[in-house]
Amino acid sequence: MSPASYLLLAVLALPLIGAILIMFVPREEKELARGIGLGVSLLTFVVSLGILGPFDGRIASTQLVFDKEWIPILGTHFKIGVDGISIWLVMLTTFLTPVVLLSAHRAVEDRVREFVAINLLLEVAMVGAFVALDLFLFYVFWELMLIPMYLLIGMWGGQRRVYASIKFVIYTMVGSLLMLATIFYLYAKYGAVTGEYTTDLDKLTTLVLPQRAQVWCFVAFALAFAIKVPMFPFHTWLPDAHVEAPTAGSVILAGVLLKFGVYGFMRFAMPLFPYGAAVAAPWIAIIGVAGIVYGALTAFVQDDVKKLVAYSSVSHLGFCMLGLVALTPQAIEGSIYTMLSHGLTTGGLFLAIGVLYERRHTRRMAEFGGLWAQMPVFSALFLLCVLGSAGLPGLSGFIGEFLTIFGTFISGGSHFPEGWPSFIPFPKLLATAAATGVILGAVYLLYMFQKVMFGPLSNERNKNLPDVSWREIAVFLPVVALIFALGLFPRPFLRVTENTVDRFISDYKSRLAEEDGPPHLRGQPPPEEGAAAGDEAKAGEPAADAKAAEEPKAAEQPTAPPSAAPPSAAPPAAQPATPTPAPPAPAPAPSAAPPPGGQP
Amino acid sequence: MKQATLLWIPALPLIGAAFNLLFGRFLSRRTVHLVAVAAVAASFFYAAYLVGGPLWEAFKAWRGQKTEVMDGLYQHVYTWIEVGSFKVDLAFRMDTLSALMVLVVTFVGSLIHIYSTGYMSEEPRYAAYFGYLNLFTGAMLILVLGNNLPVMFIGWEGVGLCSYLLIGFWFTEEAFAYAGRKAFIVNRIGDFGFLLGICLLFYATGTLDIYSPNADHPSLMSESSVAAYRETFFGGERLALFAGILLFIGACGKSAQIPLYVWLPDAMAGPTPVSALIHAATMVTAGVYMVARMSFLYAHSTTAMAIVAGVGALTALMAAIMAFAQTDLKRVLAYSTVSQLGFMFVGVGVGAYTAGIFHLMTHAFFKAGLFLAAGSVMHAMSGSGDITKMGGLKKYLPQTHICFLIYCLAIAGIVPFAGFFSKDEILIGAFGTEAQGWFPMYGKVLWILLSLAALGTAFYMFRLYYLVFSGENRSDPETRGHIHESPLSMTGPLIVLAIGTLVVGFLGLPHLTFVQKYVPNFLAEWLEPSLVDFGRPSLEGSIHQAHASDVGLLTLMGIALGIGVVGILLASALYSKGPSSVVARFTAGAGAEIYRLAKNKFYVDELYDKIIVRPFRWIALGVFEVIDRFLIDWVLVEGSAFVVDLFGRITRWFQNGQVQRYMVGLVLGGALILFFATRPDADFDWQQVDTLTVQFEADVGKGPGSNGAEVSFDFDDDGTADFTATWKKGDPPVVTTWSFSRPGEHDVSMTLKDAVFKKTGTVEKTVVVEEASGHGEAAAVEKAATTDESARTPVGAGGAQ
Amino acid sequence: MNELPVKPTDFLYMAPLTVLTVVALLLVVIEAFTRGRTRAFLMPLCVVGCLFGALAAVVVARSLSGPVSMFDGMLIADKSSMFLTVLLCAGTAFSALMTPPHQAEYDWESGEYYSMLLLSLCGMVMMAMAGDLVTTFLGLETMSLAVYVLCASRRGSRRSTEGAMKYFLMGAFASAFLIYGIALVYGATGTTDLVLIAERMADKGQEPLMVMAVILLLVSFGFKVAAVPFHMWTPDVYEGAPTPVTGYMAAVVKAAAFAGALRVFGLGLGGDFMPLGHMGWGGAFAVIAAVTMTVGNLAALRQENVKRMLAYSSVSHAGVLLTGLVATGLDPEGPGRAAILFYLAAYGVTTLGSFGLVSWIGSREHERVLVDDWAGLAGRHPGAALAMTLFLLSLAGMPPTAGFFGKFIVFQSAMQVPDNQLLWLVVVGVLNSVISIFYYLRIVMAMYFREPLGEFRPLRSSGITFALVTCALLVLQMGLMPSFWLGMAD
Repeated sequence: MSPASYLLLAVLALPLIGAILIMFVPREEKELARGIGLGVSLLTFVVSLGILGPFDGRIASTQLVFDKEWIPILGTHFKIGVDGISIWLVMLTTFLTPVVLLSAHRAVEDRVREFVAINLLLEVAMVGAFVALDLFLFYVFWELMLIPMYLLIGMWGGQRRVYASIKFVIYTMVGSLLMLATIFYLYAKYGAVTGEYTTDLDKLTTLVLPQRAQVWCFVAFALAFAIKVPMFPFHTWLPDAHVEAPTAGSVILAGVLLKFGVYGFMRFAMPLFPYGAAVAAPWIAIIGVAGIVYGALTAFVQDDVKKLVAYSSVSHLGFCMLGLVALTPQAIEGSIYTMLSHGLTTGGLFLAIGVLYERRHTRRMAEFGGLWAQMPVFSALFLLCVLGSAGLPGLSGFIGEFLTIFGTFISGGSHFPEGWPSFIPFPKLLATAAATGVILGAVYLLYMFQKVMFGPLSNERNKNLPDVSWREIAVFLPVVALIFALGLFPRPFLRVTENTVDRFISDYKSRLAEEDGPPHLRGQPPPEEGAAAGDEAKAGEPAADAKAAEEPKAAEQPTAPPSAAPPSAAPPAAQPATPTPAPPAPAPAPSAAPPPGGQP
Repeated sequence: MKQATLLWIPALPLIGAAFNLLFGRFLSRRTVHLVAVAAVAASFFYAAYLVGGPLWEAFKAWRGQKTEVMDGLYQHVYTWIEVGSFKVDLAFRMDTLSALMVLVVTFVGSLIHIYSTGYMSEEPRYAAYFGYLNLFTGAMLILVLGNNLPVMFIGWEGVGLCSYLLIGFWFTEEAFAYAGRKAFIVNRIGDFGFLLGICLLFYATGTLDIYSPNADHPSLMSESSVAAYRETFFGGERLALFAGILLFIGACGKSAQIPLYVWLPDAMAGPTPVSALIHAATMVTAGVYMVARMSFLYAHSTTAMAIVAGVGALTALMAAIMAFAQTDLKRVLAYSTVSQLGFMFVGVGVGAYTAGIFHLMTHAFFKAGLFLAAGSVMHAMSGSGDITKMGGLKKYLPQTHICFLIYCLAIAGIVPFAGFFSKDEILIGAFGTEAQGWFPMYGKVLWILLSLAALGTAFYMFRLYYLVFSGENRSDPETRGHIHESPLSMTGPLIVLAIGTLVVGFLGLPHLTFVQKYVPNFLAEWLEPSLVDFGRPSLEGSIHQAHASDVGLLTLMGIALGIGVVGILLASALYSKGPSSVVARFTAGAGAEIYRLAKNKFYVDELYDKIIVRPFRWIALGVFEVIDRFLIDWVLVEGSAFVVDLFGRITRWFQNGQVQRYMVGLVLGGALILFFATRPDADFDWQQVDTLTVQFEADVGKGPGSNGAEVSFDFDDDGTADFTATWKKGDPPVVTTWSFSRPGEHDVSMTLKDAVFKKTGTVEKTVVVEEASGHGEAAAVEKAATTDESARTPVGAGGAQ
Repeated sequence: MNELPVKPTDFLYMAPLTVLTVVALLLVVIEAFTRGRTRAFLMPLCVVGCLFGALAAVVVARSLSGPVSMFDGMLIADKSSMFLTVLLCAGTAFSALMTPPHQAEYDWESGEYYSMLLLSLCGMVMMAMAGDLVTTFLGLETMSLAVYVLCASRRGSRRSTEGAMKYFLMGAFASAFLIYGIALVYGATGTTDLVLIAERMADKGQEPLMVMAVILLLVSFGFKVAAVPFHMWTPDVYEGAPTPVTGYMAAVVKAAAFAGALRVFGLGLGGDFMPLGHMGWGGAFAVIAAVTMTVGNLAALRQENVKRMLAYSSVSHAGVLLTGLVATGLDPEGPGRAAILFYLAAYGVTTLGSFGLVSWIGSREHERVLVDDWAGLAGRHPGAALAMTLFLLSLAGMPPTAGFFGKFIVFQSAMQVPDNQLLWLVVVGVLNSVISIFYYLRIVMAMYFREPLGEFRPLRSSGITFALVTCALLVLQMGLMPSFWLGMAD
């Protein structure tokens, strides 16, 4: 544990302390509460910048690890650390929090104290979930995010805030609780194999589950994360949440919370259940692309600006998911980069909408029009965010989308669901479909921009809207600056991520190459089926004794030699080489819903 | 390779742009336009210096020993993107081709900047305007100088953005804003192709650099890449075809070719200088430039080139026809631009790259001039561009008139004006083209189409000229009062361009031996190192130009000239004294149909609106309402909530506060447990012991049956027990054997009746009987197990354990 | 056996029980001789009694090396029973602390209240320490009778009496089941000593007598822990009884019932040879657990009355605890027992806290038992709202609260049962949490997202405040640093 690892701890601790402090501020002292909040969050940001110093981009593994035993009996550790993937996301979080706190200066007038405290708590939870290296710890933070966001939407939200907030919570819980059940399963299995019970991620990733079990577990994890992403068709909580949430909520929601979906896939779902991931990959890719187009289409027909942007998030995160499963360094870095840029651009858009809302208390496009003449500076800032989001070269959005499309296009092997015609170059098809998102993005974003900014300044109530104040400029400036920086000088950012991503890919492939069989550790031959027959049988579904009898000979079967590992996320490629009776094809993968409770 | 800080060329205008956009609103107009003009002019002079100095040296050196490629000037600024093997440097390269473009862009650009100072003097958002204009110039220069496709793409989209901003510059007009958006989106459709083209090229060649300074790192030009272009991709076609077409889609968007030309006419919504700079001289020619730039790619697919040329020719003709019936000054020019761009594409498409670029250059001069002149006219006509309201302006605007005339002659292709030479080159190139694998008359067909287009061009341009300048003035007196010649800042550039129009033609004199003997075709030589020369062995069997004799050339030139003259005469006959009655009669009678078609641009916009724009909206709306609202939100989300709630109501119904009911619940619960808990769990194992003979072992389980039970087997599945035994606690398990009549699958069922609760449980299994060979038991078991495996029935339980 | 079956040390080991009994009787006497105001010190006395009991338990626990059986196996003192004793004592003390203001507000002061409280506590402790079915029954009855009285102690209210009456009738009915079950066990095995029963299970396990006996025991304990379908009395009684008593029943009585169940099923009938079917009573209880969780949550969904809602929620929690019980039965070496103990502690603290707030918020003219009555609490009493939120989150099993960790290890232990026999149960369990979060958040919503109707006139008393604050802090502490408690429970 290097002294530097305490930096990370500080990033977690500072906002928490701040939140507690603010609770003691008398209710009337709004300015004081705001001041403390802003100060603390800024300090946190500075400290998080400090992480970059000791962090070494050439090292692929997690760094600055702070490991302390937490609950010895369960073998859970308070283990945190960052690697090339999470570090930027942490930065994004610590960066956006002060921004939103500053932006809410005028928007939030009642219960300021609570507002600031909740935001800081949210920051703690988010950072924690990004740096957690222990499944239990991660889950705690993951759930911890829920409540502050719920309160944020519910307490400072719009008319339908109650509906939106509860929808948000229920949606998320459905997914995350199945994930919890899977964590139990993983925990028990690892304990059964090694005799050591732990939730340490690094250790758990050494466990190789029987393939059918992997599929189920992956589905459970994937559901949790897919809802968070949100992947079509689990996205409908997002528009409601965004529309009802206050600006600060929307910015954090779009800027950071959604990233946990993709991040979860990278950090947990894929490393833990490589085979399941491989089976699901083609479907994820297809759904991702579907999401890109779908989100764009639906965004186009919205009248509420916020809803439009919300749906655009669905579209953007489709890119992330596609890039992730394309499994080429370019694509994955693209997907990470898209996350960052989306956090900034969409965050910026929501800030801009917030500025409008503060002035006019409506978000309906029909209400606006011709605002450019009235507020040129604001319009320029808004335009930059729009263009960044539309992926204009030289701005942040382009790098991510381009790398994703590019990486998918050149990714070898056809990640096709098994039994599909394979004469079409599938990845290229996906890339092409994804590239339409570039057109559609321009379509709906510019449509929105024209409706709001261009045209005659007809609406009387818009006649004397004040342009952005200095405070608001201060809010926008860092965001816009970063949009430019990320667009013009992506290399430093990519550099830090590169090695981690490469390692992620190679590890994933080597794990995928593991033999099928009862649970065992990586690199070790699967044990006699007799031993763990029961375990394996019930992996998928519990009380079916019939399966218990069937399963043992699943392990008898000659399993594929490691060499049969597909070049990319292409189980079907390996499938013929792997005549494993269970599971029969990737049948379970598409039906993302069912818990490990039922039969495919 | 020579190093040179090329960065300054695009950087200067960009700095100007940044300055004006950030601080312009606080500064005087004077400062603003001084900065803007200075930025572009400086960039021009710097470029000129580089071309005149180092590049010229390099060129001379190259001419000495004709190596593969001429290095030119190169600058690596920094590495933009790098992921794994994929590396994109922000690098610029100036070779003869890009040098030409740079000079044209910066020169014409400077003139138009100057012109704007006069034209836009009334504009409130003065600084923003010049900011955008500078920004555009910068982006355009990046496009031109970029040494790899992604960097080109920056400029490519950058200019698109600027045109979006400038078309919609007067955004308070809903229609203008819409035009801007339309332009951007149509361009995006093109960029979509361009992007995929980039991906495909890297996928094939592993690099995106057009030129690589160090030999070991391949570039798109190097032999390895060339080999990749010639590989068949799928459908047995060459990869060059797909890459070429994808890139060409991009070019279609940028350079307004069929089917993506629709944005350009609407783009005239922008200020006139903008139309001159962006939508005539520079940006729209980016597509042509790109094709020429990638000539080494296109050269490897006859089909790709044929498509480029074909599209170009069709566009040229169609746009020309559309231009006939337009009554708006700038719209006529817009269509003529589209048409001229078509000419250029034919040029590059038939492999006459020099001709294409030559025309690009000349066109930049005279078309920019035409627009500026138009601007001056509209300026005089207090903003109106309706040519039916003009006429007889020559006496009011003498300088403008002269310049305009020169430009018209140039575009109509009259000696010795620039247009004549360049257009001629293209026509000749097309005429002499033989594309392998295409019908023999291919080149001739192109030539005919172009000639018709040329005829059209001459006609509508002079129709325009006459309607504007000759005859009686048809405007209302009030406007007439204001008519005045424009200030020097506007007329000056006109004159300069007019002079340019007169001279640039001579850079590329026709390939007549007697001419070439004295004055060689400078342009061809200058561009040679940058464009594929068909002498390269690797390009065999693609397109080549039949080398025509002087006589042939002369005749062709004659024909071209004749066409021009005819067009002009026709126009003068009909329009010299304002629109003549003939025209009226024609448009009313015989040609009514054609006239209406042409006037309404063949209803293409309407068509697109019908088949693309509207359906898109409907689909989007349908998707949203049906899938999002109904299926997901209502059926799934609300539905599940409803079901849960329903169960809630049911469970609460039992809760009616009566103790009796509660007690019943208590008792019922107990009874249920009793019933379920006392089910006997029967099971049996089996294994084959001998030929057709199987041994069965009953398993009474841990349930109540374990206190003693009555076990009965039914082997032949006839419903009657074939074997019955009573088992007491402590006895050894019940074992029996049965020999089946035949091998194969048999359904065997065991019934267990426990001694206490007298409840029976039955289990049925499929027993597979083998013809047991010599191996005896073990083998049989083994086999049984494996066959169960295939049958995937739970039977194996017996076999395995 | 020639020498006396009673060792002198036995009296030491049963110290907690003794202490409590003495204090209880003391209270009865004192109560009989005091009038009016002087009763004010009954409550402190009761609390002190509980503390002494707890103290004794701690001392005993420290001195224990392994399980010690007393009085020829009638009582067994071991770590878990002592843990439970402490838990029960603490719970009782908290309930006592919360009572006086409520009594004053709704004037139902009654002297016997505290002695009844302590007597029921004695019964519970006896159940926790029982080593023999007879002692179990004894403890159970002692407890029940006292609790019947407590339910009815708000004489003024008809609901209270009605609830008490129902509870009494049902309770008697259930007790009959229990005693009959015990008789059958004796018939089957010839003993009522749990340890001996366990030994004889191997061959007697599936005897018809035994089967019937187990079913009867299932029913009676199912009733005590309010498991579906034996739960129906719960909402009525919980709603009717005065709120502090409700809290007491939900938290402490339920804990005691599980203590008894742990003894009877865990010790006596658990292990390798579980009677009843091939999964033993585990199968039956597993199904019951699943049904209990689900029905409890579903029924709670639409409750407008907070007390009823919490009653149903307590039903669903019984389901979770049963899961743990099943796990303990199926795999005695597993962490199941510790899990249950921890869960009981966590759940007890949370429930006491939440019911405490329910009784705190109301006032004579407006008792505020409806969800809507909580509207806007956050605006007026942020602290209280925060605490309630904590409790509700803990009930819903959201981190970082005690409830979350409790659920976590219970399901954990269930998952560690060999062959994933309980995987499905775990899945049902976690899915239930989704349903539950919905109705718990309804209260949070009311508190935070809505404007108050009328002024709040909450009870003012240092005792209740202290109790609530402690509960809130404990909820957090047990969620963040559960190691300490787990160590105790193990």
